[in-house]
Amino acid sequence: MSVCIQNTAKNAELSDSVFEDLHLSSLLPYKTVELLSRPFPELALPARIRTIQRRQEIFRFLLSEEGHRIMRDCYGTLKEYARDLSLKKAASLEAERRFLFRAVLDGYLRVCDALAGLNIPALAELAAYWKQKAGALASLREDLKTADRYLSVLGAWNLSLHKEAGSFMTKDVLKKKPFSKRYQDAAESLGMPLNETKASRVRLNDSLAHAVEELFPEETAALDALYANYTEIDFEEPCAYIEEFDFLFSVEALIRKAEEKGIPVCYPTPAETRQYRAKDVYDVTLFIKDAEHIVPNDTYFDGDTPFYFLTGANGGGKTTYLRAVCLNLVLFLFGCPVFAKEAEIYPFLRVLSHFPADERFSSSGRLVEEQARVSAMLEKTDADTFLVFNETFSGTDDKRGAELTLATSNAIREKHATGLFVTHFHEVREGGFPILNTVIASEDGNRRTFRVVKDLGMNSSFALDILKKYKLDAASLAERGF
Amino acid sequence: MVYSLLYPNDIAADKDAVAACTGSVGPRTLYHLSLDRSVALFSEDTARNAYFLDVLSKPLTSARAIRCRQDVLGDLLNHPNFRHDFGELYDRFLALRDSHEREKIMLMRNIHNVNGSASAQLLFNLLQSAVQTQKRLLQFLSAFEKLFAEGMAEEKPLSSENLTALAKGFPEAVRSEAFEEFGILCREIEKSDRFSLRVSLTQTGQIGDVDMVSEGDLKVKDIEAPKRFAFFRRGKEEELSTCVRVYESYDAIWEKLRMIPMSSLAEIVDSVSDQLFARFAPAGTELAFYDIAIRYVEVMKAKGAITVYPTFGEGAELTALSDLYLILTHKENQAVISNDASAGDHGSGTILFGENNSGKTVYLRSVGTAQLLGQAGLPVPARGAVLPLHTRLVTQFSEAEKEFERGNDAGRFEQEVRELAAVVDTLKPGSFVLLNETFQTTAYAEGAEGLYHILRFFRENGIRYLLVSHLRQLEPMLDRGAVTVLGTRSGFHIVPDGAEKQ
Repeated sequence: MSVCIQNTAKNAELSDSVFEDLHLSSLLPYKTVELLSRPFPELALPARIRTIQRRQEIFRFLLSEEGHRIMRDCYGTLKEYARDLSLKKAASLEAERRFLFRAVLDGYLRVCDALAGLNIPALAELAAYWKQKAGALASLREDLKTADRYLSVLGAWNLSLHKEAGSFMTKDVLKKKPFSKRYQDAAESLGMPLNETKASRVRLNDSLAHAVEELFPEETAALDALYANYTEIDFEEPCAYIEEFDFLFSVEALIRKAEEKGIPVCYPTPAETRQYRAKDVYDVTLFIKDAEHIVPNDTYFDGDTPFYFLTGANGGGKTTYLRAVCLNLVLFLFGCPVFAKEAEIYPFLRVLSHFPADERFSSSGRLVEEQARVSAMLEKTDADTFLVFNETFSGTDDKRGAELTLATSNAIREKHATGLFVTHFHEVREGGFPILNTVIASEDGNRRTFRVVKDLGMNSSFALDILKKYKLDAASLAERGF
Repeated sequence: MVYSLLYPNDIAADKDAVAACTGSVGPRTLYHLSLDRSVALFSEDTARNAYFLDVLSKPLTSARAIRCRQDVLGDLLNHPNFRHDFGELYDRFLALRDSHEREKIMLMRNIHNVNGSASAQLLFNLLQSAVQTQKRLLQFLSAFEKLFAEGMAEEKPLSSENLTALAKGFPEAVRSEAFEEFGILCREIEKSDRFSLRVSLTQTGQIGDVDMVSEGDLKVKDIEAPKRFAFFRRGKEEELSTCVRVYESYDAIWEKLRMIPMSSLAEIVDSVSDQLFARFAPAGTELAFYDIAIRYVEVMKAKGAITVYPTFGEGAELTALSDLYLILTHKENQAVISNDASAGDHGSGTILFGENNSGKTVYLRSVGTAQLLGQAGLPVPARGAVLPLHTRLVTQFSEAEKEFERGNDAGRFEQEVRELAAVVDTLKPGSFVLLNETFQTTAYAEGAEGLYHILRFFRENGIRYLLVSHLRQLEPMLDRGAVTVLGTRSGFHIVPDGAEKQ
């Protein structure tokens, strides 16, 4: 019974490279990224849509004031419980375990109550499950009070230390005030408050633990008998939720950060036909670079035009656009809200990406390695696949690169897949695919606007502007006078 | 509650309140006024002298606080036997406090096991030492109580606010149940080499609190028997309770179990001693001021000098004011000339012109000295004195060129300007500035012009000044209604300007 993740075999694929290419591990904790790679427990479209909608409802709850408080409290209870459970497992002495077991039982009850309190339709089944668990432990609340009485006896005794006779553990029959308390009381009466002394934490050893059992045999036996009623409980079960809560809170933190910067967040409508249409999509990985202003763009993928090339000026925002498309798709597939004004997206089963890799990691040369990777991607591609390519095949000459690019795109078209290919090869316009282009303000010194629009595409990549700024254009190089 | 002899008790414990009724002086003011030399002339105790001068450098700005000091001084002068015993007892009390501070350092090192040598035995020794110090402290408090009871039983009992507060404070502490309990605790801990540890386990089954408890009447019976019993007396009955032998293995826990309660108890004992010292020790330290003050009064009396306790008002009015240093150094057949001095409210200015060696600097010194002595709660060398309360008193005396002093590569005039600028930076309304031949290290006309603007700044900002000068070029610039101009007449007399020719 899961909050939002169901532990079945991984049968939807978001390739590992997607997460590296999106730099997600710089944006979200490792565990969160790992979970994002396994979005769906089932393949059938209606089930995928239901899963997404259920998770969206959980996020809506989490992002509401009351829901946030309930989830945080539940999480806190779980963490405390997990800590006590781990202490109990680590305890080597029965005497210590007796105390810790009480803490674990109490924690388990509180965890049941907390999970039963997750009162939204998406979590109704889970809440009912834990409510039933709590109900079955009705006697535990009374038993804990009884346990407390025994533990208060086991937890207070005296050690009488004699040089000659040795050391003895005795019951605290005289009930004398310790010296420290007498001092404190006297000092307070003179208006001289004393600082609290730091409490110590020392673990019992064998001889003390056995002495406690020998000094209080009845209480020890009674406590053990009481605990025996609860040894069948699966105490580990609730701990699995901690990972899920961590996932939810880490995505929530990203959302809050985006909202602080004025970036809109929405819950895309799951589409029943293949499309990815969104208005004002943002690439929040730019937070890693502390970018102050992020320019949003629209997406245009649908049944008629599932695949686009993206061309345009260097530094114009092509890779940013590609990341915005891909990141928000990954978040949507997991039922997370996305960074856009509105969106309607199909729950693809597969997301594959190709970004340029460092040549030194490959022994066979860049082009051969790229071809191999692309072939592997195409093997897995079907109509439920979304693919992104970032300047693939740019490690060869224009003609060859353009040929390979078009061949890949044609293969994608035949498989009815959806995707985006960022390229500098302007020849791709001959392939009959729709083109997206970055917008340049040519009246404003070719200023990059970082907007992406449907366009026929221009033949210039405006590389010369950049070369001049760094004095690597022809005229500047001539003046260098080597 | 802190018992003080220098400040009213209701503010002595509050640093901010004390700061609010305390002013300050310039860095070389005591030197310029020759107060350091003067004090050395009537007392050879350099440590106490330094303390006395330190108190003088923090003039009181509250008339009530000044009266408190005057009253304490009066009490001590009128009760010489009490004063002698009080001083002796306090000297020993402060020595005990210093020893306690040293023990505390040892204790702190060992509680935190800074050098790795802490052990239960060492901590036990430190605990015993702390307890013995506390026992002696309690004995001192009892001795003080007895001394004050005698002081209050005299025909003319102690009457100052601060001393009568102490006379009440000692018995309040000494006769309290808490005091008795401290004494009992000290005896119990001192005598005991066998005690019980009260152990409580935490919710996670670990040892949390470990306290030392007097074992009282608990005794273990038949320690070799298979089942052992502890018996104890409750009333006349002997009752039995089971106990279990615990074998101490070579395990650090046993040392810890002893160290924990002893270190926390030692800290508690020290903390109680700290608070008792903090409450009663300041008065002892402050007594040093009165030791020197009494010397001052006695020497002035022996010299036949007239002194008076000033009262405080808006302006200054001193009648027959003499210079302290001259009183202390003059020979039998030489007279010390006295003069009158007066000033208006804050912002009033006085300029004294005159020939060389006509007594100008002495006059300036005597006015500054009277102000500081008066604001310290002491009598001033005059027949009558009404003084304003200044928050800061600063002097600027023309000095030798400091060309060869490190960091000083300026000429004298620039040096003066720099010093005066540093002085002006510290001034606020209510300050009093004494200037001796300022800006005479440049062309007089320029010096006068520069000085005129500074004096105007003082006037406009409620800063009183007394200037001794040869810069007659100032005269036509002055607004005679706002400035008092004085001159000198033969015989070291200071008179209103113009009257010297009469």
